[in-house]
Amino acid sequence: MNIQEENWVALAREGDPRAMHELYERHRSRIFSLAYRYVRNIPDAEDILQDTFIKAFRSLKNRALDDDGFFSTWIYRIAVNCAMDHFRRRRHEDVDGDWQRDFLAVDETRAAPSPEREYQRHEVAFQVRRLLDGLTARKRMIVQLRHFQQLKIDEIAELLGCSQGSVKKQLFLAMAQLRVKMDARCGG
Amino acid sequence: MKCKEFRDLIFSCQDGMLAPVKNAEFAGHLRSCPACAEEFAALAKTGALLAEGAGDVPVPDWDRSWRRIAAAVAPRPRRRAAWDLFPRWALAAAGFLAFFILGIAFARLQLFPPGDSPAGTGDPAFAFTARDYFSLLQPVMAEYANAQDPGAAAPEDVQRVRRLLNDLYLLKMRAEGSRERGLQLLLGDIELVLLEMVHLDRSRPESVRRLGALIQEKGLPMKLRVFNPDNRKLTQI
Repeated sequence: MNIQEENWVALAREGDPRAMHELYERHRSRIFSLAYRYVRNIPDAEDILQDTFIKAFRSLKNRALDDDGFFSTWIYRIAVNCAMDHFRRRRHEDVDGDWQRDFLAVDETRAAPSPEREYQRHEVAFQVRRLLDGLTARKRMIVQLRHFQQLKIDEIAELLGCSQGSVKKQLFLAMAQLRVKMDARCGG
Repeated sequence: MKCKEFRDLIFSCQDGMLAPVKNAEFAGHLRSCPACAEEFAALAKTGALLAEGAGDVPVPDWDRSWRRIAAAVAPRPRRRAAWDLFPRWALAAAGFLAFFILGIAFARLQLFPPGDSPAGTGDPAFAFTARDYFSLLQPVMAEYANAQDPGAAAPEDVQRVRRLLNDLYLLKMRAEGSRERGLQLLLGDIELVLLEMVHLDRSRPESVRRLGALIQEKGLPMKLRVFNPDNRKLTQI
């Protein structure tokens, strides 16, 4: 944690709203990206974003500041847990409509690609989403942290609070499960 | 390198975390083992598909989210309770004092129930009346007790004796709740003697002597001295 962020964290601990807003601006994109790629719809991702910061600011008073870089890692860990909790709650709800609408929302913010390329991207993303839907919350999170957020095994283990061996084992199982599904779809 | 070790190192290889020597061993096994090579390729293919399907992240309404967060973490003004106006030590002292006073009142009630308090006990008016009454009665009793001559043994007229009897009844009523059993017995004896006096046949000397003997038998002159107006015990009644 750099000196400036350390100061913001110290002020936020005392309830300074400006410091909280500064920390929010620094970390919101990374957390929203994690949340959105995990739940694949904007309202749920916004809920996760808000829950994460609310939990972080409320419990910040009880945290020690002697751990270098603790805030970014710590808030990311909160976000991971919030996302998995949210996913477990919403698992059986149908969010297809949200997902389609969110893709349209993405389109509006980007330069228009060719229609064929865009169709292909949508198709792949849709297939990936279908594949990930069969995984448990934890395996889904490990796959996402590994392949969407590009984290290393030791970083994932730290975030989830488990051993690297456990992460590797679950990642292997998840990838094997995904491969079987992919083969089944290709075969079909 | 064995296949198991190879699989353990696949993710480390992808992360670029293998030492050069280990990396060379890994590459050698990859070339020599078709099953592991297939596993490695499949993992890479699945990973590439996932990365391609990650999709873009839309931009949410950052300000709306911040407003909700700020509202949730803002300190809520605490309503001041009535007891916040006083320091805690003052409240504790007041509570202790109230408890102490109630304790004393309860103990007094247990030790001295209201029914136990005799009408005469602690009643200044009663004590004064008893003292007056005994001071009036004492010479009369002494006169009858010592009377030998029937002619001289009727100094008191009947009306005066009746008044003494009436006053005695009032005194007895007041002394009913008294713990002084001696006083109650004395009043009973006085009543008996006064009734004899009322019905005394003053023309017959033997009647007068019999009354004198009764007064002596009951020990009234001595008892009235014991309960005389100057006696402290009577004052306490």
